[in-house]
Amino acid sequence: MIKKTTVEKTREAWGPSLPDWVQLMAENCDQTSQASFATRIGYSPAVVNTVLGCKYKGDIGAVKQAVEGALMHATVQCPVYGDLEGHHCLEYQRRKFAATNPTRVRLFRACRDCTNNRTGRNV
Amino acid sequence: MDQHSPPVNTVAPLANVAICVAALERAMTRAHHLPGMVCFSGPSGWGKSTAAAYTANRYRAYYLQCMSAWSKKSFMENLLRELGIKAARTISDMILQAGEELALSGRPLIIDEMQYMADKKAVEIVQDLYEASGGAPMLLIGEEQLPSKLRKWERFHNRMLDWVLAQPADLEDAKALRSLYVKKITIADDLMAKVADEARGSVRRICVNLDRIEQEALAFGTDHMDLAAWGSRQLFTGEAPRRRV
Repeated sequence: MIKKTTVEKTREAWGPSLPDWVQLMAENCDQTSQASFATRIGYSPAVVNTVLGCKYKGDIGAVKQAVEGALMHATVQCPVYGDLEGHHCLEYQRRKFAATNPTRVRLFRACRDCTNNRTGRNV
Repeated sequence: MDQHSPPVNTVAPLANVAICVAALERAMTRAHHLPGMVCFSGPSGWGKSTAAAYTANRYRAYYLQCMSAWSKKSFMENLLRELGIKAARTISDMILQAGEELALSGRPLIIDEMQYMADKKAVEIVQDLYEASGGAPMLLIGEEQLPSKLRKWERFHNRMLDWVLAQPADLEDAKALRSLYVKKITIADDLMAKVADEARGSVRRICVNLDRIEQEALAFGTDHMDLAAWGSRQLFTGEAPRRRV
């Protein structure tokens, strides 16, 4: 029996409504693995798997931002960094406060009332 | 992305930014038999830390700014916080944890305000970290005396790939800062020359003066300021005023 590729499985799950970014994500998972791709975008392997299977219950817009940031270099306008790739934006939003460097403190404050903030954390 | 806010650019392309980027890049692209630490030093206010923040973002470097109150242990605790790892109990275990993370991630480390660690005689902990990470690229940043302070630790001192010196901010740098930070008025080049001259190399003083000129102009009700209009008003030179009674 031939094992199906992630792309094939994803096409079956999503049907004709498969968005480009999910397709890209599936291709990337075939090249590496779902686990390593998950690390790359700052999500758990479970999130990657359920998005591919069209069963994700969380904020899919945030996953889209992370995937497009990592694979398509889609940027957001960060008040601290200027052009910032989407997955790095999400990573910084999720960080706890730590005064390890001045940028991190500035980000912590800026993320709290930033329109890019999707986590609602620290607000 | 469906963002409608205007594009922001938060770091001016000054000479020191290019120097800092090149310094870290040299450590990252070195041949494997060469040491991987680079030292970047210069006086306070010359834009080293801003350059470091830019460089850290560009190369996804871990960026740690030391504080005067840190001990060896708090240095390691804060480094692990920056790396996103829960710290082990002892300093030696923490060094192994951090070394593993640096080695696995392949990301460089920038340590700012390194003179504090030299003052605390805690320089060797950075050497331990360097060895534990299998030679992760490191950029050490500190004030002007850092290279001479490090001379006390010969083994550390000779592990340096390069010593890079920050450059004083010049008129070109001042103009770059003007286009980034002065939005409400225009400042003529003759006044900019005075600003650059009186700042004596300090990016921070240039920024303070650009803001001061902008505020004065707005209070005056004009949107252009030049040397003649500025007249005999004082620029900020960094000297605290003396009271004359």
